[in-house]
Amino acid sequence: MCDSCGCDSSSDPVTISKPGSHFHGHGHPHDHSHDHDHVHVQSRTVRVEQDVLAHNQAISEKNRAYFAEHGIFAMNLVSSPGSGKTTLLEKTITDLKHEVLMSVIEGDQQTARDADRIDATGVPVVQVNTGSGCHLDGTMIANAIAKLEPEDRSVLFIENVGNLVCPALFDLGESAKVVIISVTEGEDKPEKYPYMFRAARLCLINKIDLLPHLDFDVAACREFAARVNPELEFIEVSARTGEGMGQWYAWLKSRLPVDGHAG
Amino acid sequence: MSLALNIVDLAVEAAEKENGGRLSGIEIEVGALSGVMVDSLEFCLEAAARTTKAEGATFSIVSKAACGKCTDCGIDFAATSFYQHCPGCNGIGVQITGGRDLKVTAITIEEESPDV
Repeated sequence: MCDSCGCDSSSDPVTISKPGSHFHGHGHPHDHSHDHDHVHVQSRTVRVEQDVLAHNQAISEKNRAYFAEHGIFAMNLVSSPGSGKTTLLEKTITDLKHEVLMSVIEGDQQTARDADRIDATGVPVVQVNTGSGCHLDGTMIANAIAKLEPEDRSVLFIENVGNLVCPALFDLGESAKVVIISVTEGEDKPEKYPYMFRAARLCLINKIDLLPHLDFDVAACREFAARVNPELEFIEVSARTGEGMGQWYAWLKSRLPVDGHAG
Repeated sequence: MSLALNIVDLAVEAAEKENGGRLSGIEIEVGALSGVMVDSLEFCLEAAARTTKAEGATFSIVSKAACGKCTDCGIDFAATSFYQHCPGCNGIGVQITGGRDLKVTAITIEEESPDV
């Protein structure tokens, strides 16, 4: 959530673009001008009882309905910066693109670097730049879907902004959150950022090829995460060497119907 | 900040439904496990209210304690984190049953009545 880090998604407009193009997304207009000739002012307190995240939730439910209607399995990939999300996506797409229809929404504060990397793999991709905002929200995804037009019966990867805090609070309409932690981080991340690990369905522990050089305790990491979310599944992978990736592909494909495409 | 903007939007919309004028007060309920830091939220709210009907309004933030229920022994208790054993049976089958909300609970509208 942005209020924890002071970032302001309103001051910089969100942009949504395909590689090689440029598109401006929504702003945040306010217009309240009134001219009155009144004198007496009384104050009145009204009970409201409105959930603040309800607006995002309503848009995300529409996204969810759209995905269901079109047989799209949407995954929200979340992690801290540098966990290797984009490399993992590149590898996944390269290995599966002849079996599974895929498309990608890339979220970053600035630049289209990640979208360019995904574009090079040949699958459709749209970049959402959040400006100074630190997470994607339902509206950004709705606008990105309109631009991306993912195919029916496909997998949509949503690579969220690298941040283990705010993206946990904002539903995008996805079928599952997949949290990625790399072994170059502290194994106590799940304890430090419990909201994210609680919201996720699967935890990918990435960069395991580096384990011989590090003190990262995989068992302790899993234990911390399991205490926050006893239902969380784990797969240990190296997107660089390909180790464990087969298990991740099996997990992914198990979410799809028998013909190999989402339904 | 986007949460602060959402809060101001909700309050202004509610005021407009009431045919109200300027907002002088907004009451917000923040659950202990909502993930929202009250200090940061307060900081953002003032900025979010600028150029809206809520500019200059007083924001009162009411913290709401969280509660949990043990799925093993069934007791209800005050929860302090997601990361907690049942205080009754020390089990880990704990469900958070309250204190995750972030709500605008009330608004105070300055109503202008015609001079008589």
